Amino acid sequence: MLDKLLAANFKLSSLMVWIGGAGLIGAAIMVTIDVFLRDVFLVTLGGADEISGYIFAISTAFAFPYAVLHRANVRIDALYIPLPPFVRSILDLVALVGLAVFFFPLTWRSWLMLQDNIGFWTKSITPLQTPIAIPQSLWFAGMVVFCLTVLLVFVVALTRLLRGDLTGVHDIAGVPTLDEEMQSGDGGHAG
Amino acid sequence: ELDTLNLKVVGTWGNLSNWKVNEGPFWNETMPEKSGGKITADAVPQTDVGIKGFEVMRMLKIGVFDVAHGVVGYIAGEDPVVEGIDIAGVAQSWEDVRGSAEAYWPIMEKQFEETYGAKLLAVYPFPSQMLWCNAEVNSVEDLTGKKVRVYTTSMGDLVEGLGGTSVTIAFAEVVPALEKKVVDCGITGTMPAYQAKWYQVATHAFPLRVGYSMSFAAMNLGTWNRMSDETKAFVEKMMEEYNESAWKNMIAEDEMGIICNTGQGGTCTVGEPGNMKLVELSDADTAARKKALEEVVLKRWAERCVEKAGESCIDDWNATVGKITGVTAPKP
Amino acid sequence: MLGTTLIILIVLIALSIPIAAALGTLGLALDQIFSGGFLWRGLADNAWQTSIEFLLVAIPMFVLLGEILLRAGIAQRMYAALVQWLSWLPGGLMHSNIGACAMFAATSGSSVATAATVGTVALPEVEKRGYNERLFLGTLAAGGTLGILIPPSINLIVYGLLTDTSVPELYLAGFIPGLILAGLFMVAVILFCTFRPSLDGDKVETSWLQRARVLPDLLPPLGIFLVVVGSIYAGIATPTEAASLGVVAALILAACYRSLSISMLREAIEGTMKTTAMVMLIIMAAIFLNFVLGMIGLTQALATFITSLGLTPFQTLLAVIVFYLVLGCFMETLSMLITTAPIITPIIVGLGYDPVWFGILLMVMLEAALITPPIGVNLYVVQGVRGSGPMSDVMVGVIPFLLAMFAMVALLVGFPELALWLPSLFY
Ligand code: NA
Ligand code: NA
Repeated sequence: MLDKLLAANFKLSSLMVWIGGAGLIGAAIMVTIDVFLRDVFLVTLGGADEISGYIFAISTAFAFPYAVLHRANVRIDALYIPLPPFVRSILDLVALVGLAVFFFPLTWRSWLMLQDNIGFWTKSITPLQTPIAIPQSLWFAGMVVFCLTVLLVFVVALTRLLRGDLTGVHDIAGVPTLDEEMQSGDGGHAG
Repeated sequence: ELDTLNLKVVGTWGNLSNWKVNEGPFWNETMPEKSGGKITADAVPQTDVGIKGFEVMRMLKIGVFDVAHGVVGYIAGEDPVVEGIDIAGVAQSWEDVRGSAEAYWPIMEKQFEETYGAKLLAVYPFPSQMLWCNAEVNSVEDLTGKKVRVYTTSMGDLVEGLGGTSVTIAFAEVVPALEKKVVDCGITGTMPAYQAKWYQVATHAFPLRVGYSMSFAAMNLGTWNRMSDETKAFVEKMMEEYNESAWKNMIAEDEMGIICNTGQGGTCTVGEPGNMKLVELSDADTAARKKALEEVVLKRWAERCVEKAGESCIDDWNATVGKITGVTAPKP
Repeated sequence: MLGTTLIILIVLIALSIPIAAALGTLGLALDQIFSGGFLWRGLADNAWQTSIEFLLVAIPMFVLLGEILLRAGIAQRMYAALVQWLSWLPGGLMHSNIGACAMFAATSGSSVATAATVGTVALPEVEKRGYNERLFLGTLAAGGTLGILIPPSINLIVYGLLTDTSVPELYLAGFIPGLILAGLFMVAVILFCTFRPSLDGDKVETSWLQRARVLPDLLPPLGIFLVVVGSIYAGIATPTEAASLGVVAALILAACYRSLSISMLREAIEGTMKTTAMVMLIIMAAIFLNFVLGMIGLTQALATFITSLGLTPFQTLLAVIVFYLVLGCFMETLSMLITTAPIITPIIVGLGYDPVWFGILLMVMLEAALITPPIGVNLYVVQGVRGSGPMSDVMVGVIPFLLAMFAMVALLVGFPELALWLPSLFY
C-alpha cells in the first residue's frame, strides 16, 4: 500500500515538474515576444512580467515534491557523514520533521490567505488586474502536494526504520552520496 | 493614566522622506516622549523587513503588526473604494488633495474597519507624482505613442486615455530603461525622482499630477479595542498632530523636489540641482486630462467599484472627491 | 539576542536539517522567543510575494539556458575550440578550463552551472593526458565561480534587488574584475607549472589551420552573451527579460544543431526544476527569516554593534571581509547573500563606500565561499562530476585560486576604479 502510494507520488511529481518546466519555457517565449513587439511595433502584450512571475511561483511550487523525493534539499553533512548508520537514519527523519515544522504552518497560512483572496476577489493593482486567487490556488495546490509528500516520505522512512531497514531509510530520505548524485546526472544548485 | 503599550509598527519605504521625516521620528521619539514612556514602539520601515506593501494590510489584519503605514494604491486590488482617494490624474493642486482627503475620510474609515478590521488613524500624501520623460514631451499631445512606465491600474488607464502605451517594469530597472529608451517616460514622486537620480537620465518634467501616493496609518482593531478610552483619546490626538505635520512636510518636500530636479524656482537644499525642462501645462492639456478621466480612467474605476461595492460607491465619490476636483465618475 | 540566534542556527545545521528548514525554523523560534509569536501569521503573504518576484525568474531561466547549451553539445564544441587556442601555455588544458569557464560565465548567471558544465566537458581529459589531478580539478571548481562575477549573474540581480542598486551598473562593474580574476587564475597555473613541471600534462598538437577551423565554435556562446548582456545595453530589454531572451536564443541554437527534441527538453527541465525548487525553498525561508530579524530588531542591533566598535571605515571594511570569509566556509552562498546583504550593505555605504563597488567585492567573497570547505558547493559539484577519488583532492587543488581571489580583493580595495570605471562611462 505504502509502496504504491510512493510510486504514485513519484509519477505525480514528475508530471508536475514537466508541466512547470513547459510553463517556464512558455514564459520565456512570451517575454521574448513582448520585448520584440515593444521595441519594433511599440505595442505590448501587457503584463508579461507579471504573468511570468505567476508561472514562476506555480512551477517552483510544483517542483517542491520532486525535490523532496529526489532528496535535493541542501543539507550540511559535515557532522552527519561520520555518524553510524542508525543515528544517520534518525537524523534523516529529523530533517523531514524540520521541513514540516516550517512548511506545514506556511501552507496552513496560505490556505487562510487564499480564502481571503477568494472572498474579496482581490485583483493585482497592475493594468492586468489578475484575480490573485487564480494563480494563487495553483501555487497552493503545489504546496499541499509538497506537504503530503513530506508526510508520506516520513511515514515510509519511519516504517523502514522500525523494520530495521537502514538502507531503505537512506534510499528515501538520506543525504545522497556522490555516486548517487552522479547517477541523477546534474550538479544541483544555482548560486 | 495611559496604558503601557509596546507597539509593533511598520512604516513605508526606509529610503524615502515619509519614513525619515514623519513616521520614524514619530514612533521612535515623539510618541514615547509625549506619553511619558508609556507608549513605546518597535518601528521599522517595510524595506528593512523585506516586504513590498501589498501584504501590509493583510498582515495588519491578522495581527502581525499593531500599526501599519502604507500606500493606498498598493491595497487598491482588494478595495476599489479605498482606491477612490488616489485615482490617477484627478487632483491637481494641494488644496484639492487635502480637501478630498478630509471629505473622503469617513468613507475610508468605514472601509478600513469592515474590510481589514483596522482603525484608520491618518491619511497623508507623498510628494506629488508626475511624468519624467527622456523625450520631447511638451504637451499631452506629445504623449501619443510614448512608452510610459506605470505601476497601478489607474495610471495605466490614464496613460492609455492620453494616447500613450503603458509599460510595467520594476522600479530598480527604470533608470537604465529611461536612459536606453526602453521606456520614454516614468512616473514617480518629485523628490523620489530626484533621490533616485532620474534627473540624470530624463530631460522633460511634465507636471500633470498623476497622483499623490496617498498613504495611511491604521491600527489593528484588536489592539485598538484593548486600549482604555483615555489611551484611545491620547493616541487619536497624537495622530492628528502627526497628520498635520506630515502634510506640511510633504508639501514642502514636493516643492523642493521640483526645484531640485529642474534648478528653477528656488535653491535646492538637498544636493546639486538638475536641469530638466519644467513643462507648463496648457488649457488644452487640462481638457485632454478631463476627457481621459471621464472616458477611460473613472469609467473603468467606476466599473470596478460598482462590482465590489454597489452604485453607492459612485454617489459617495462624486459627492466628495468629484465635487472638489470638478470631475464626475460615470455610472456604468 | 545575537547569541541565541547563533546557537539555534548552529544546532539546526549540525543536525543536518535542510538549510531551508533550518532558516525557516530559526525564524519561527525567534518569533516565539522575542516577538510573542505573532510574526508567523505573515508566513504565507511573505512567501507568496517572494514566489512571484519577477527578478527571481532569472534563476530558472539561467539554469535552463545552461542545461540546453550542455545538452545541445554547444559547450563541448566551445571547450574543444579553446583547447586549440590556449593549451600552448605552461599548464596546457588547465588554461582552456579557465577560459571556458570565463566564456561560459558570460552566458550563464550561475557559478555552479558554470562549474558543472565545463567540468562535465573537461574532466574526461585529465587522465588521458596525464595532468596533476588536484590542480586540474582546482581550475574547474575555481574557474566555475566566475559565473557570478562576469555578467550575467543571478547573485548580482539578487544583490541589486536587496540593496536597490542598478543591475546594469553592477553587470558593467563585474566585467573587468571578472576578466582580471580569470587572468590571475591563469597566472597561478603558469607559476605552479613553471616551478613544478610535473603538474603539467601532455602537450596538445595544434596548428594555425586547426585553430582557424574551430573558431566558428566560439560563435554560439558569443551570440548568447550578446543576447543576454548586449540586449540590456542596446536598450532592448531589462536584465530579467534578458535571461528569458537567452533561453529562447539557446533553444534556437539547439534547433540549428539538430539536437532539440522532446526527450532533451525533458531532461533539461528536470534538472532545471530540481535546482530551482531547492534554491527557492531556501530563498523563501531566508526571506521570512530576514523579516523576523528585522521585526525583532536584530538587524539594527547588529548594525549598532558594528558602529559601536568605533572602527575606522577601512577597519570596518576589513572586518566585513573577514566576516564573509569565515561565514563563507559554513554557508551556502545564495542564503548567505540574502541574509547578510540587507544588513551589511547599508553599513558599508554609510561609511562612504560605493554600493556598486561593494556588490562586486561581495561577489568575490561569495566566489571564495563557493570553494572553501566544509560548505563549498563548487567543490562538491566538481567532485560530483568526477565521481570517484578523495574529496581532499579538490580542496587542495583550489588553494592557489583562493590566493588569487585574495589578491583580487586587495586589488579591488586598492583600486576601486577596476569596478567603477566601466560603469562611469555609461552612467
Ligand atoms: Na555570469
Ligand atoms: Na565555503
